Amino acid sequence: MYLTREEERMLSGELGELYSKALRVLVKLGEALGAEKLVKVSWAHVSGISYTTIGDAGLELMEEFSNVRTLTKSTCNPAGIDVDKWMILGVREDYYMKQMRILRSLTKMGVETTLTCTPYLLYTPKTGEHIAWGESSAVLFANSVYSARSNREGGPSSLFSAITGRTPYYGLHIDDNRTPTAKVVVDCRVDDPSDIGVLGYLIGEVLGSGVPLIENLPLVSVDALKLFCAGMGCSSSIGLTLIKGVTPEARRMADVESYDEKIVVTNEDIKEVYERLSDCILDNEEFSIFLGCPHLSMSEAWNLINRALSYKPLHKVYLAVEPETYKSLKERNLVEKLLERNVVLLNGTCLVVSPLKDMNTTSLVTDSAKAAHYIRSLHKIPVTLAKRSDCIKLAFKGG
Amino acid sequence: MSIFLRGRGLVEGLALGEAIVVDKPISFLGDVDPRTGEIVGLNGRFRGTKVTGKILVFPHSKGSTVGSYIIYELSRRKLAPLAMVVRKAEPIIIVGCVLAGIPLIDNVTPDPLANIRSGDNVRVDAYRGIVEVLVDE
Repeated sequence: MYLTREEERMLSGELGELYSKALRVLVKLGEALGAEKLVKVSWAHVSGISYTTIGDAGLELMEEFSNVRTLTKSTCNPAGIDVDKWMILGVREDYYMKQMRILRSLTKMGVETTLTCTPYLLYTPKTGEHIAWGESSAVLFANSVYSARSNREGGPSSLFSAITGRTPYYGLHIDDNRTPTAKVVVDCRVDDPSDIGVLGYLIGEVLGSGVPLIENLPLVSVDALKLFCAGMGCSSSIGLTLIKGVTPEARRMADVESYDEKIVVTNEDIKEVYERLSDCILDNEEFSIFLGCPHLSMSEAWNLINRALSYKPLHKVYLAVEPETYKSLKERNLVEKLLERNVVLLNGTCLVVSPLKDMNTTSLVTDSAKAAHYIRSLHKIPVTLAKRSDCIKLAFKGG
Repeated sequence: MSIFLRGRGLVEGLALGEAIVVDKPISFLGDVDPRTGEIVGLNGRFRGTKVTGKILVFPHSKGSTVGSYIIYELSRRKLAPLAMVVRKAEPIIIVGCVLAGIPLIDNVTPDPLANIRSGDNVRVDAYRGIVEVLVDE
């Protein structure tokens, strides 16, 4: 692999052993994946932050690398705890301590502890910008909505990109790999944001990989695209989807008729996914409701909070938001008011990566295809996928 | 008398030891206990078997990228395999082996799973991408 003078120096240890190790990982990765060189990145988003996810092994590695500073702007994914309310949510003290050690390591490194899967709502990715992001839903969003350039990094590679400021130049960093491999015709009506998430999940499942070109995506608001990307990210290895009318680089693409694959998606297909991702717990058991995978935007949060304050809550509701949004709502005393109504505003965390058993959460209803998929497989509890409007009806009497 | 297999040396190093052949993809997160080096997953077929100090032969890795951290922790606890020989190396294994300093060879032909058996004495030269199965006369 070709390395610049600066990179050679880093690799040989001139900046210290840790930078050398971090760069060596990326160089070896790049060589294995056929990258001819590295490329500098302007932004790294580090995934694998929750103690539930990375455990003692990851914690040790974080603490070891906390002795270096990141060489590029860096943000990070949600933690395993709500740093504000962990104690009342049932999280154990030893878990809390370990999670805080991870966060302190990140801060020491210079990673901004944004604790969100929606970093693109905090800062705006630029078209053509080379970035190195973990978190599949965010990668899809940055690539597909902004035409930024990132591969789907893992926890370790996103961390080492933050530290070295570089990533292997392969995959979606290269023009040729950003051309469509399949055409998707969306032939359905969707009237709820969760339908869009299911649509993403479905397309991902059918195609598995490649770069879909999508026409007629029925909802293209930021909130809908957020869910779409999350659904697609968890059912496939797709990192870029070209959405007509949304993706900047899709404008340049002529209407080519020959694709490897063409699929048509209908309302029947969508309905089938709802059924498949649901464990049908609604009749008998105690359940909680979880909204905010990906994190709710401020406007989504307000909408839900207003309902929570107007109607009597029937079940415990978790609403996940990122820390700046949380701070703003807390300043209005809403966190307390909502807790009184059994609504938990989650700060900078996510139930997917939380210690659910400690939190006494034994079954869930959610409007997120991604949450339904992961919570069932990782936490082995029953989950039901329902439209957001239905979740609201379930949660609030008269809602 | 030896059988020679050739592959791509991804993480350099030399190793000589007893092979453990696992014929299924390994998810290091979940299948291997980083505190003991034991294989605890894979439906119990290898229960009690440790990867420690062995030449670990398997098709490829799967599962979470946290698997890289598990490999790293194994090496920190001095419980890591001596080397890994795989059909196809994916990021989880590459990152883990680089961090842990474990020699790694992939794209091995002929198929390592067909030509190496658990208990075989194996020499790995990941500088030159050579896997030598030493057969007693």
